[in-house]
Amino acid sequence: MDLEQAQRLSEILIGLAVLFQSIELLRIAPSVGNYGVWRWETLREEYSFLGPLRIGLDFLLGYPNVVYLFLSRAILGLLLTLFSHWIILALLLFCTILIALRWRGTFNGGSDYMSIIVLAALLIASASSENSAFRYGCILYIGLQTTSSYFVSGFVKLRKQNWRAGLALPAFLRSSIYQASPWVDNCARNRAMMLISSWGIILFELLFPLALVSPQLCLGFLALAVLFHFANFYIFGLNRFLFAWAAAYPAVYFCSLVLSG
Amino acid sequence: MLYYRSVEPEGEWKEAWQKPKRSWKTLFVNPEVNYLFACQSLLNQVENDVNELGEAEHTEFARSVSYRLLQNLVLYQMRMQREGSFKRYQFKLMAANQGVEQLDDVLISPVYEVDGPKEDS
Repeated sequence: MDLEQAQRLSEILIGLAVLFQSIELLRIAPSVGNYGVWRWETLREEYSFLGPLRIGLDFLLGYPNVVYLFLSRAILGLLLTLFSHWIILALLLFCTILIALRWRGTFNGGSDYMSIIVLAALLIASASSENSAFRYGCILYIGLQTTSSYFVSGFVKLRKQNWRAGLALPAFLRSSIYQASPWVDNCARNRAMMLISSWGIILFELLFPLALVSPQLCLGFLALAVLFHFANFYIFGLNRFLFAWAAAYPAVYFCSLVLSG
Repeated sequence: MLYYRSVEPEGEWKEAWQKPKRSWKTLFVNPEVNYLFACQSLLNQVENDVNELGEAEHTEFARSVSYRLLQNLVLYQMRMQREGSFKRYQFKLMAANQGVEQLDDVLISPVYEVDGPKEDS
């Protein structure tokens, strides 16, 4: 895989991630309407510091224009899977940031941050296509940022006694957004399984930087990562994380090729 | 957890939403659950804000954006769950003590009038 292939594959995957995210937002559009939860008339107070510039946000983020924003983002995501151009990436990043403002920072936390990081880096890479050093740097940044996200997450868990003792995971399982499920409850009650699973997660995340040592090891870690995010989707409903992180995996693999020589 | 009840006519406390069932079909698009995550983030924000307030600031909090979003959420969920008969309502936010079944009251609202069913076109 060369630089151009890694960049293009990441673009396709983030385009898909953004498309799915935007379809979700369109499906819950009434909740941002004038009688919804996140009414613009309520939220706009938080932007009073902008003064007269707030008129711009009133136009872009008021209802129903915000729905057109969701729709535009879906179309741009689809376009990105078909064509590579810095203008598509720039507009996507702009829409994504506006939508983040509409939800007081993020709609879904980590997956929104990851989407913005990948989009921003790909935008710079695409806009500086004549400068291979910049492109290189951007793809390496995505790969290293993703690797560090797993490592930091593992390190934070390692420092917490309830994770080391296998007590945090059952608490998370019981607090799932989903209805109680017999097999999940049984797993949560199995102390040995919870202890092994907790340490499995901690070690997977802590050791993720080893993925950069060789391309073969990288593919193994990426396969584990997909399984990890898939499990998080099924147990906790975190589908967005799978696609947002997967968009960075071509860059992680490219990093392993570069660093292993 | 967020609860609401009708004050006129007098009613029991109800959960603001029901937990959905797991489904493989929601892998690509999962609007219901992601909406609930956003609602839960709002509840967490309100709980943090309340815990940081001193006693004197609680009445001021009712004018904050977070509180008003919470009130919007209650009204929206009441409409979603077809609570058309409510004339006056009240809501409360409860927090679970880690590892303990019992929930503590974080916030109990005053009684409000319901404006009537509304929808965007």
